[in-house]
Amino acid sequence: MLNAYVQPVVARYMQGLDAKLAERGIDDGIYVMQSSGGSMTIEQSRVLPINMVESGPVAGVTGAAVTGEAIGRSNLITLDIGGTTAKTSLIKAGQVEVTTDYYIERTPTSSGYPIKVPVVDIVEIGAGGGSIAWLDEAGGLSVGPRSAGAEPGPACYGKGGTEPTVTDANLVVGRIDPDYFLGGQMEVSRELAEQAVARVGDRLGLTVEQAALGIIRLANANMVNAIKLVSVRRGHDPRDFDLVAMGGGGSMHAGALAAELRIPRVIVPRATSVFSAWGMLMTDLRADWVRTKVADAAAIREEELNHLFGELEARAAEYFHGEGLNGNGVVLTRSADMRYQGQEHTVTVHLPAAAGSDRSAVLEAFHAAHEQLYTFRLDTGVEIVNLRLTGLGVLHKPELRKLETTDADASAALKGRRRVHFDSEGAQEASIYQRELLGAAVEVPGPAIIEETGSTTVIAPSQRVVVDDFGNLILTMVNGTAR
Amino acid sequence: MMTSPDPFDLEIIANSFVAIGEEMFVTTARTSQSTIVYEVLDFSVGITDVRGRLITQGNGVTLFLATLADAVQMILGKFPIAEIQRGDVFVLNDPYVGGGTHLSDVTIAMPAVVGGRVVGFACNKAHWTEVGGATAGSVSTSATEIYQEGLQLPCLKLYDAGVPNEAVLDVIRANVRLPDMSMGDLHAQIASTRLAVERVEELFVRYGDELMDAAIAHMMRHSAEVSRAALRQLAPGDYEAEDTLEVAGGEPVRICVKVTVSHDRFVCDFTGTHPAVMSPTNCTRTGLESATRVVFKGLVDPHSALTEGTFDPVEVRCPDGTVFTAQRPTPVSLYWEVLARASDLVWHAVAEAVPDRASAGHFATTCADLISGRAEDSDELWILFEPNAGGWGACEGHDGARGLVNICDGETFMIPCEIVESRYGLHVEQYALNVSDSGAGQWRGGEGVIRDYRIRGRDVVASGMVERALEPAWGARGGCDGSVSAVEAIRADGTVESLSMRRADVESGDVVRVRSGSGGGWGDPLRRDPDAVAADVRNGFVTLDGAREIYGVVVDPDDFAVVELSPRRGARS
Repeated sequence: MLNAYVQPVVARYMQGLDAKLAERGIDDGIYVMQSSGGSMTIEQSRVLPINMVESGPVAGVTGAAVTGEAIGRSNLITLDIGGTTAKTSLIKAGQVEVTTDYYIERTPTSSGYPIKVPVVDIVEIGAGGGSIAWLDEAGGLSVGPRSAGAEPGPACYGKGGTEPTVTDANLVVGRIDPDYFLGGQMEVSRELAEQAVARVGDRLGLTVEQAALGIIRLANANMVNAIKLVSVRRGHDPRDFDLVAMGGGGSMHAGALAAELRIPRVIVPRATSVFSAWGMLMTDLRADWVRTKVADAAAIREEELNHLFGELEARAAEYFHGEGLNGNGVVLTRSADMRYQGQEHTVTVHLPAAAGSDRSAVLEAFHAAHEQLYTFRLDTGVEIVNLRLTGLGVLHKPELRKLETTDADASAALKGRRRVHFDSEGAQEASIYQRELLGAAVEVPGPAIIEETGSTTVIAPSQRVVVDDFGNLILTMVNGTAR
Repeated sequence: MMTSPDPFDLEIIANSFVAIGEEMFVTTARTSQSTIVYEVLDFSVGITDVRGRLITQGNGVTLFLATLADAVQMILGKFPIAEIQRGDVFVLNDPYVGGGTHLSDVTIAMPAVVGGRVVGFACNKAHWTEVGGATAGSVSTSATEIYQEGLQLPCLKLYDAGVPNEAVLDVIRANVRLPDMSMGDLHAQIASTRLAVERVEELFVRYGDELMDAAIAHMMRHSAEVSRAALRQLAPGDYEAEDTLEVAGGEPVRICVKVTVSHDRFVCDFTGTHPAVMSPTNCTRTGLESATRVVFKGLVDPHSALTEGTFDPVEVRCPDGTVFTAQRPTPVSLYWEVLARASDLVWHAVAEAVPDRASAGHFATTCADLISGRAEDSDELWILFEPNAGGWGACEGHDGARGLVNICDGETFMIPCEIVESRYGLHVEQYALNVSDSGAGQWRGGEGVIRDYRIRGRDVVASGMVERALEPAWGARGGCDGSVSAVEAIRADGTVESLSMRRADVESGDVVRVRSGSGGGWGDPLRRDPDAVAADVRNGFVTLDGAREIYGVVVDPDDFAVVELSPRRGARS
């Protein structure tokens, strides 16, 4: 129903886009990003536009998985901080987590609408650069979810905003350079930021700097809770993961969040502020088929499962053939939604290529997944509810280019020094570097700031950054042991 | 003595508690084995401090607003704190004490222990579809004493330091009709408390006792201040209302309240309310407290997180032994209907005094259906028990909401038709808005719903738990009353038999119809915008006759244009 609701508008738009692109001679290899982390053809997007929900942020998650694969890191937590929200998702063993339990427009006062299509499992909270710090009548303090947005934007923009935002706080403590905002293309005022932050500080009897640090700490705590939602609360230990920072604010906060969650390593990819756009280029054609079959998981016969999957596989082959993909270019994966008898909600379990080859292993995989998610397993019978087939058609992608190695050390990229407050580690003179001038294998010890157009990486005194072959910044704790 | 705590630390800890409450809620829903828990979400979760004061309550039914803290206080009164250990699990469902409501609502509590010291409790109260008793589904319209309403669990230790008491579990299994379902829900409840306990313990380890105590005190102080600040916005005075409670198997009885609002108190005195009746339409003092708290929270600040401090200004006065304060062994299994009416009563008293916060009366019943039976080809028993949505009252500037659960059901959901059809021997033949010309006003009351179940299978028994089957929701400021609710059986021969507050066998082929009422209107209908009336007619919410007779607007039946306005309107606009 929701698909039907958006279809006329989207279909018309996609048709127009297709025609306009064709006029300019671009008529091949155009794909549309999907919520599932794969892409689809324009024709498909006109039939099933609902599959585009949340696909922008999803592309960042896909990009993180690709980056991780290139550098040999397969357990990743993504952190995408924009103007109004922070989004986080977990990638385990290179696998992006996909859910079919996604609601749109769900808020504390609206029940929202379930859309039941595969969506990469992203947790989103109202904490971004534009999030406003405010005090209620009774003196209770919050950061977000209200945001200053782009208009009027943070107080420092000088467009009339007077309430302090996270960006203002970062400016006050020196983490953002007022003279290099958006690479110097936008003027921001440190004085206005200080005035705004002082409004909160005065009411609490704190200095401007203390209030700014507090605002950042409160925003970080909200983000920590979001990261815990996708990790600890689903049975994953953050210490086994790397944090991939993206979006305009990701690299500004990632170091502090990693320290808090004892995440050993942060990856700041190139062009981190527009990373999800790059991620879109790295996707494969994806389609999902589902067949509802409620059955006793232990009793259903192997032939029946193979037969049902066979039907889905035939449909998949037909679909990919239509897209000009065959044989080796197509990867099909079977999975099943399973639950304990009597439950309603399910847990998705991957199945081996030939169903039933080892049923007890499948059942054990279900019990283990349920226990990891919910802390217990039952002796009750197990049901299969849905059979799922995911098809990936491998598309041509741009190759990741390595940086040229240079003899230059970090000093070639040094552009100055300034006083930056690192909260518990105090205010210190930090070296400021220009990211584009840092070559491969260069090491930058904290306290330091690495600036690039659109984002800033903060390196605390106890942290350091090494630039890898692909130009990613790898941030680690100096005393920490990276796993 | 520590220096005064950092205000940001206090907020971070407060946010963490709220996040824990939300996580408990989601875990329970996702692992439960009964539709009333995983679809309807008829449960509530929360965390208390070591003295049993509420620190946070996750989303869930507002019915349980006064219950979790009382449960912990009951445990603390019975078990010496020095003997409570990590891994203990307590269970209780006594309706008359310890935050009890009715036997079907089972509370689980687990202590958080840090360094051998109890620092708080995680609680989960959920509606079990089955706790035994005289009838399938345990709640009945016919019980005359508590012993017919199910198994009583009077504050027991179910797990001792992580070791289950198999004897108690065996007793429970043996006394409920659907042991797998009830045991499954028990596990889901325990899982959610176990998670919460771990999170709370992490917080104490991380921040230390002193800062945690300061943060908890800060949360309670802050929410009390929020309540008092909002209370100062209400006009002080005495506000009164009286109504009749429709009781199972008897004539309606009088209920009444006097609400005294002052700058720092919100006192509700129910003296004069009828004595308890010998049928399950009574509630206990806990229910009355919750009923009052719901309205208070809605009036003062519906959005902020709540703690024990939120309700500091609220005082409830009522003698023992009324329909609102029943005592052992009076039956109480339909307590929620009585509770909803108590809320409606308080609301009615204050509504016109706070027109920007309160609406006209809503349908004020769960209009619940309870249907049990067996499939033709199986001996397995199925039990469907579901609250239904209905119409809400209009308020200044807004029409009432359509098809929304009643005030005491909070964030509960309807069971989807697909789930009903796949799990029970029922076919959903109709699920529609219950449209009528009632609830008229300058702002119209919202519509209730109609849901028709065609019965399949054998041994099927159905009953309806329905208040306001006789007297509709009240209109306000000249708005008209809404319509009444009903559950009824439509027999194969077409005869219609009421199931409201009664139970009957139904045959395969019969239809059980749920019909929930409209909310009351707000303001004189002759003041409703004529274009809005025309749109109502076009959309099928108001009839042509209704538009002319009630609203004084003649609407063209073909193009739905406004043709003529009655002179009666002139005098009023």
